[in-house]
Amino acid sequence: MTCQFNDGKTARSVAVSPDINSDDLSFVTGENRYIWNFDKLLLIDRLHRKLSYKDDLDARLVLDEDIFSNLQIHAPHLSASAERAKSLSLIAKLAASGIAISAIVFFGVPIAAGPLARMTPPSFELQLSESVESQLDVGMDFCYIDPQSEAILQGLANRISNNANLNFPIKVGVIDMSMPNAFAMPAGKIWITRGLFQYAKNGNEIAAVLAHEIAHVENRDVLVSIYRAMGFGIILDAVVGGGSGAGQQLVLWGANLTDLKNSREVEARSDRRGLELLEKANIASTGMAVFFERLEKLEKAMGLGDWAVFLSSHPNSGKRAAEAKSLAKTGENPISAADFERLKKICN
Amino acid sequence: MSEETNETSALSQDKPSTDTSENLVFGHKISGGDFVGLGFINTLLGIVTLTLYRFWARTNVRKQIWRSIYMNNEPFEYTGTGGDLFKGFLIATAVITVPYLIIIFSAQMMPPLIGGIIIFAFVLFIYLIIGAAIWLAFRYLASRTVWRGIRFSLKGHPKDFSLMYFGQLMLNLITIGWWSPKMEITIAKWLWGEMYYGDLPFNFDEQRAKDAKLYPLFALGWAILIIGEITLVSLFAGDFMAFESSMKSGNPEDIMHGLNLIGLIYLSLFGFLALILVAFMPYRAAMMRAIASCISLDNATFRLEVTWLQLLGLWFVNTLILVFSFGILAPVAQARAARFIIEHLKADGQVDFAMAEQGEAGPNQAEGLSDAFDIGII
Repeated sequence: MTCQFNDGKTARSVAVSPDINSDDLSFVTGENRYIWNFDKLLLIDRLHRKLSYKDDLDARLVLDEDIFSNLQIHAPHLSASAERAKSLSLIAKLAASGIAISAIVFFGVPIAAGPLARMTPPSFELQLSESVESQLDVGMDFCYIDPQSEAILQGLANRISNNANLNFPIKVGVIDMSMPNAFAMPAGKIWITRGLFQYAKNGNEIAAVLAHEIAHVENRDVLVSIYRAMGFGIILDAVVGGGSGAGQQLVLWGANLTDLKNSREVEARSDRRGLELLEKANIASTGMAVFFERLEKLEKAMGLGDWAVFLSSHPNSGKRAAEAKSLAKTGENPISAADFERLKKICN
Repeated sequence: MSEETNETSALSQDKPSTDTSENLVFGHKISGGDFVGLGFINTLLGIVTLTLYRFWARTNVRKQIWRSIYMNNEPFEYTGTGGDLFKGFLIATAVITVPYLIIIFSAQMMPPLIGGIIIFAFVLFIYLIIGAAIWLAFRYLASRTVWRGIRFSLKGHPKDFSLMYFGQLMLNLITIGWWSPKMEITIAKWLWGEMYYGDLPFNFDEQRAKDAKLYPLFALGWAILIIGEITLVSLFAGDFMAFESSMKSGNPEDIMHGLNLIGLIYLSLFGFLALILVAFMPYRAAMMRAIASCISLDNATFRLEVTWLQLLGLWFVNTLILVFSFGILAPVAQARAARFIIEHLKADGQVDFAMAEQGEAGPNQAEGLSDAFDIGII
């Protein structure tokens, strides 16, 4: 029954023969006698049956199998079941913290982002807009718009936005890009691509796109999405650590999918608000449904099935078309055929 | 106590020894399979706890690796805790992560020039403290590594190491990477030359690295890197132009073609990275051998008998494990790496361990700063 002791003061190993008493474990090394109370025993390594002592943390006692088995009866906190219980308690606490943090990330942040954006002073959004514009300038080619085309485009934007509750005047710009797209920036700036003008079949469709983007500006959606992304970023970076582990990546994926879901809801709401704005401006809102129907065909031609919507920031174009069709109202054609033809050549 | 281990060290008696001096015999009981379950449990608990468990997961992997490594038939011991790592992480979050996010966001609100200067200054600061992160991680690992009840320790100060590291990085930048071999030896000297087992100091004699032919092997890797880069850039230029024209046309078929080109570019990049890795592998193996040969403890010197093909084999299999398990089996890869080192580590001469006395206690907090930069030692 030889066991090994290291006193934690020198690297010398000493053979010892410990005795298990009623309240303690005792052993002798040369002239020193050690008495270790059961309560203060610490398990360092179950595989090697290595113990330490609360009052002498550097000391190590390696027991043989018989003594270790016997000792666990007197000091149950050294048993495997006690160790498991301790681990489970830790996991439960961490899981509870995880659930609380998840609730903040997945529900709290999206809920708080809207009111926070609306409380933000417009001057702040204006400053943000200037910064974003200067960054856009690096990666995009902006089109020169002749005064006549600018008047048509700006006139249409003003007519739609007259009934919107805006903090900023709407200013429309055009980007030299073939892909049909449009997006709102902070502080009322709306960018439309050259491709969208070429893709549109009439002025109603351009009005529908503008109305959708004006709805984003009205709701300050860009700022909302920045706050949402920041909230996700700060909390997830702080908690998950942005690491490359499988678990970390799964959580980040979950957060991204949640962000995309929120984004799709915002887009659907902007569709509905855009249709309202068109109706208030007495502009036919039938163009939105037709536009989305054609967009759906384009997406299908590119091999993007319905499944892709889960990875998209925008709702399924077919669904958008169906909803727009159900809410569409008749009205005026906002621009003449000649003006529309002029806009189609806006970047040429 | 006597444990049956896979002993690998060749012993030699070419140095004088006292009665209590010992040869160093390294062994292990590491089996990659033992770490499979740990990988799955860690991942599962990581998801359940929104990854907060990762500090304890890392600790469990280290504990299992350390206790499976033996010197003179006695196991090493890792005394770090998940709580230590968690505390370090919280400190790093408060000191680095949150200020970083705030600064990046605030810079967006400023005029581009001022924003750019602020971001540049912050990036410079980050580079300055990367050295501290490495040093703190190394010190923590040393202080939590125990053998025969005596812990290892790293002396020095993170500020000194940080400044040295930053200086080395700058020299490497100025010399387009050619300072790299010298830099790695210098860093190893600062880490291993300040390492202690109890009060017994390790020594690092960089003169021994001179026989390692580091520069010719580095030049080989560098030449392949440059040739590869030139080839890749000429390929990229053509692909990018083709991509731009297909995206401009707006035709769905052309757009798909453009996206395929992007896929091809990524594939080429992957191939390039693999080629660079292979090209530098002889240098990496030589560097590992050189660093090991510079280290000594008492009258013992160390050797790492590693060939570049063995190292490539380790990297290749570990990469397959990581990729095909989506990182879940990272502990297996870590265990294999540790086993690889132990199986190739030899020592000549003896150490009088009986003379070693306990050193100072280690730091209270862990390598949080290195976690913030994702610098993983193990």
